[in-house]
Amino acid sequence: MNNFPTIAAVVIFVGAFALIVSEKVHRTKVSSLGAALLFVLGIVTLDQAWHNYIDFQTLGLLLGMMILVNITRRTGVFEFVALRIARWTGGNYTKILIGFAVITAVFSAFLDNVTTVLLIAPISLYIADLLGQNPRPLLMVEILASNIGGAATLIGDPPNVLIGSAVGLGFMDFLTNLAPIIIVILVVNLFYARFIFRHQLRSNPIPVEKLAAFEEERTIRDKVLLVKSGIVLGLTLLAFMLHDLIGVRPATVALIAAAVLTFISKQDVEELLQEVEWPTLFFFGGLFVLVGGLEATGITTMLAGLIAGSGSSLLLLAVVILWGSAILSGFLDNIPFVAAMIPLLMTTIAQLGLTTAQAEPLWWALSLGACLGGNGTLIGASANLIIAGVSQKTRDPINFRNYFKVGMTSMLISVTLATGYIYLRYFL
Amino acid sequence: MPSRLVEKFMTTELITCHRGDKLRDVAALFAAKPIGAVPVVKKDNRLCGIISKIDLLGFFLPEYLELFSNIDFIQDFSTLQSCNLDVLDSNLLLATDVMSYEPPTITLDTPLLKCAALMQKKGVELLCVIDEENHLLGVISSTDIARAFFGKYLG
Repeated sequence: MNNFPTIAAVVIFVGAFALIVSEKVHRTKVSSLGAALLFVLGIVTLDQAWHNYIDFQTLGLLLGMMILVNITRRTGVFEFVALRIARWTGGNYTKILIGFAVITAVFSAFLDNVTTVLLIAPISLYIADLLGQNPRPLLMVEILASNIGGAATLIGDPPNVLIGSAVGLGFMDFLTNLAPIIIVILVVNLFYARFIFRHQLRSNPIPVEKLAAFEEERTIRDKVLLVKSGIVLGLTLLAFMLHDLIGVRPATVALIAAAVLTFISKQDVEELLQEVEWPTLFFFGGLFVLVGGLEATGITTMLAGLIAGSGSSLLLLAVVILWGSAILSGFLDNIPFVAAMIPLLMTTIAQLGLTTAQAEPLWWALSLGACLGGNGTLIGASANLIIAGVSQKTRDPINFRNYFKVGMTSMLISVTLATGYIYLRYFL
Repeated sequence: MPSRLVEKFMTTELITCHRGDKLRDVAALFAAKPIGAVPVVKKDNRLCGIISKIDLLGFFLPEYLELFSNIDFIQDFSTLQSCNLDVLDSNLLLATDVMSYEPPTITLDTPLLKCAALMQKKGVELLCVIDEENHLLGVISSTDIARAFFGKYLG
């Protein structure tokens, strides 16, 4: 092992990671420059990056889902669902809190978390305003629910997309292994939220006439488009679920669906493609190269050797991964962390001589830790910051301190439940 | 045809206010005259901002509305707690609380078509005419410009 490239790759990776965490420079600029440096120094070649390191399954799945969601969002259906649920609750604030938490979790499981909270948070402010309630409990619970719900599926949160495509775990694998515990965690968190916000949730009776102030039907802007995107999204989910049967990978499904819906939706394609979050995709691209630098220089193999040689049991390894990734993701962006962990874990698994099936609990531990950890602090996930931004428009905004009390406790509860689940399901 | 300039069509009978004026007094100006905006000036008549009628009306509405791309579903705004029609009754609110800084400005020799282009681009109904030292010389409204261009169709 030649020393210079190794040290350079580590310095570039650690430097880039620190800069991304500091949020002084946009993360896409950092990851692109980091990748560029690796190319310039010849540590990674463009060919290697293209063929070995950049995971086009991840990029394809993210791109396809972004386009599908952007088209569906234009129908106004998400706002409709939120308002309809508010109507069903009859204006009871506790029921609204629970209802909005559940739809936030469900939407987050199928859309990305940031899109979900951008749709739900404004509606929440409106409903709280209508009922004369403080919206802060509602917004805080939506943060918790978005990170919890995102963990439930392959497409719910970027760490899952990364893990799924690198390890070859499909939509049903995620659903059957993670959704059961996610439902438990969500329910427990709802009881927790009802307890900590019990003073704010003391319901003064709401005159039913108030719910006549809005007409949720009017959020639907395009009924034809709604039917079209409903059909395409339904078929997409079906294809995800039948992955094992039809053998088409999720990225392929998502890109085909995006192409079909773009074609039949009659939407302006220039506008649609402008709405794609290219910075996120380029961030991933650069990140894959940065992580590739560590692999190319043998760092990954070396670290994996240390872990494999430590003599820890599989259970201990799973617990350490779960808690370690939860705590780190509470403070850092979970995407670069998971991107770096994947090759490390894969090499460790190979060195330990574990089969894919034996090693599966480790991946679920990584996913649960990385996703649930996002609830720990206000900077734990992008969706948290979006909601905090929205809450600046209220009299009682969310800040780092008032969130920390709620979020850290929730995270500890959630990760404890996840630990129990992993032990009971995979090690008993 | 010589290009039409601001100088000929602008209004010089100015309705202005100061930063420390009560907002309710500024609001009264809009009730009295069909104007779109009131320039905010310093004691020496230098321009420091502008208060538009739309901004003032927005004061009654919840701030979070800007997060919605579509507000068709809200039928009855009066049921919202944050819609407070009496908010301007307070003596505490001043012009400075709602004024926007750096309003679009023009000079005496700006052609009228350029004014029209600026209004369209910036979405405003009123442009402030200033000299080199930022003194307010007059204002030109979309009505003034319409009069200049469409006057010939008057019966």
